[in-house]
Amino acid sequence: MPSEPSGLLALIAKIGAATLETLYHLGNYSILVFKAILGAFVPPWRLRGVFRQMEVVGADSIFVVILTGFFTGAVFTLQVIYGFRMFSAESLVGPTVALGMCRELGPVLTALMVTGRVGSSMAAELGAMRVTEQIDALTVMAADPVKYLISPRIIAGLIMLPLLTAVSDFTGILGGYIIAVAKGVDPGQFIARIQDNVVLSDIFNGLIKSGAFGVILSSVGCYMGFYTKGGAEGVGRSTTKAVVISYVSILVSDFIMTAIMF
Amino acid sequence: MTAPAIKVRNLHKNFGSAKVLDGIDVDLRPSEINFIIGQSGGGKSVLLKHLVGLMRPDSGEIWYGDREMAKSGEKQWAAVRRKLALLFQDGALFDSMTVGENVGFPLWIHRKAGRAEIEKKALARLDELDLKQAFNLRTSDLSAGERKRVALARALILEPETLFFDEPTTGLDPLLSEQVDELIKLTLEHAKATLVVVSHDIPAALTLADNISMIYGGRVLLSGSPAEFRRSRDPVVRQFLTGEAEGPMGFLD
Ligand SMILES: Nc1ncnc2c1ncn2[C@@H]1O[C@H](COP(=O)(O)OP(=O)(O)OP(=O)(O)O)[C@@H](O)[C@H]1O
Ligand SMILES: [Mg+2]
Repeated sequence: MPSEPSGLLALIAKIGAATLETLYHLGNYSILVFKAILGAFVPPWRLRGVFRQMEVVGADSIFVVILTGFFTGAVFTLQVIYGFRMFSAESLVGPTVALGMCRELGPVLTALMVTGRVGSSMAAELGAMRVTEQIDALTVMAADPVKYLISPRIIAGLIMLPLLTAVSDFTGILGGYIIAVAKGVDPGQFIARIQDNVVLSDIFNGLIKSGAFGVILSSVGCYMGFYTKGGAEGVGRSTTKAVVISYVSILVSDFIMTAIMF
Repeated sequence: MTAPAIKVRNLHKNFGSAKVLDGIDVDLRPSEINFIIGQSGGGKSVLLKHLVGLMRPDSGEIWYGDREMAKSGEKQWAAVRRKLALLFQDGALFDSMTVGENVGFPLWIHRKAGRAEIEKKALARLDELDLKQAFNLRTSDLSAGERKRVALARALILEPETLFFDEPTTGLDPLLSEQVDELIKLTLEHAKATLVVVSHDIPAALTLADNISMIYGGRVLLSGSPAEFRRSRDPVVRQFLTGEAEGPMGFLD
């Protein structure tokens, strides 16, 4: 039997193994996403499946998106007013809150919330289908499980996240407005300054980012679920992994996209 | 004798260092009941998964007629799969759908009929299996025996040429087992399909099968009619048929 490597060698071996595993999953993930997107463009189309998933994504998350949007806008405004008062720059509270919501807080917080509700349930649902052989059953029926299960979920993520983000942007600015007015900021000025300083591309770029987040959270959820191993326990592991990996990917890709866009 | 519907030649599959399939040769005869028997953990389900392309062998051949499938891609497999159905051990029913939607699903996914016609056909299939009243139920409300029958209805709806069963009677009470055995016979009469039944239910194999292949140690130890199995002097076969704990196989499950 070969002797176990020790010390530095063992560490290098571990890093090497982890790197290989990560690369393997990245490759496998890319193939799955590619197939799913291809499946969405190749007939027969199943629009009903897409609508169903859009409904699920929207219905599951609209309430928490409204809540987080509203309170994020509100608390952000509290902090901004506190800071800006020191420089008598109260008139800039409106555009600061609006820009913060549209460019960053709306897209990112919405994506994180939807990951928790929808990305995780996609992983759990597909994971359960995997361990109870429902995915194998689809394959044996000559029904492509990627096209049937994953394509509609990714499209739903791509379409619904910008919509939910727009809702979050709006409720966030509304929350900010209410706090600002309560704190004595001039309401007319709040709105007027937003109109002066926020351009359409601020909102647009935020929505584009959110579309990318929608693809990330749905595809990672589907990937984790689709390749679940090890029974009910495995489903739990897949679900947790889907959430953690989506969170990290969303934050990292947000940084990259922001650096490119703005 | 007619040519076999499915021919397996020298099939090998390892999981790590475990040689699960170690040179399997099987002929599965058309329009007959073919049983594949063997110990628990002997590789029966693994062989079945190879036969429908859910697993790929390390080496060896799987012939559907004159098509070699072991090295074929997903496209070719999809074409073959349109003519077969597999009854999973636990049914593998889609639990996001009702019983009726499950049964009609193969028609729907392959766009074989409109909505109304699919419902009609699904209902007719369920009726044959005495399950008409379950049409609108959720699959989670079914008993184990009912799940099996719904799965059978779903498997039959496209009138497959080949029907695979993985342990159709395992885990069912004796009465239900008998019903399922009856179903297997009925299926053959109605559908004229090639049936492949993986099982360790020896009495069922001896009464239902047209031919039996026994897997042992990753190979086919004996292939033949039930009569040939009864006559066999092979100590392993004898032990398996009588179900004694002592013998060359070691403990049975
Ligand atoms: N995907 C897999 N990865 C690793 N090992 C596997 C895999 N699938 C099956 N095995 C192993 O292959 C062996 C044969 O398994 P298989 O399920 O075919 O047995 P079986 O004959 O169907 O048994 P049973 O009658 O209990 O269903 C087992 O030891 C199992 O652990
Ligand atoms: Mg088995």
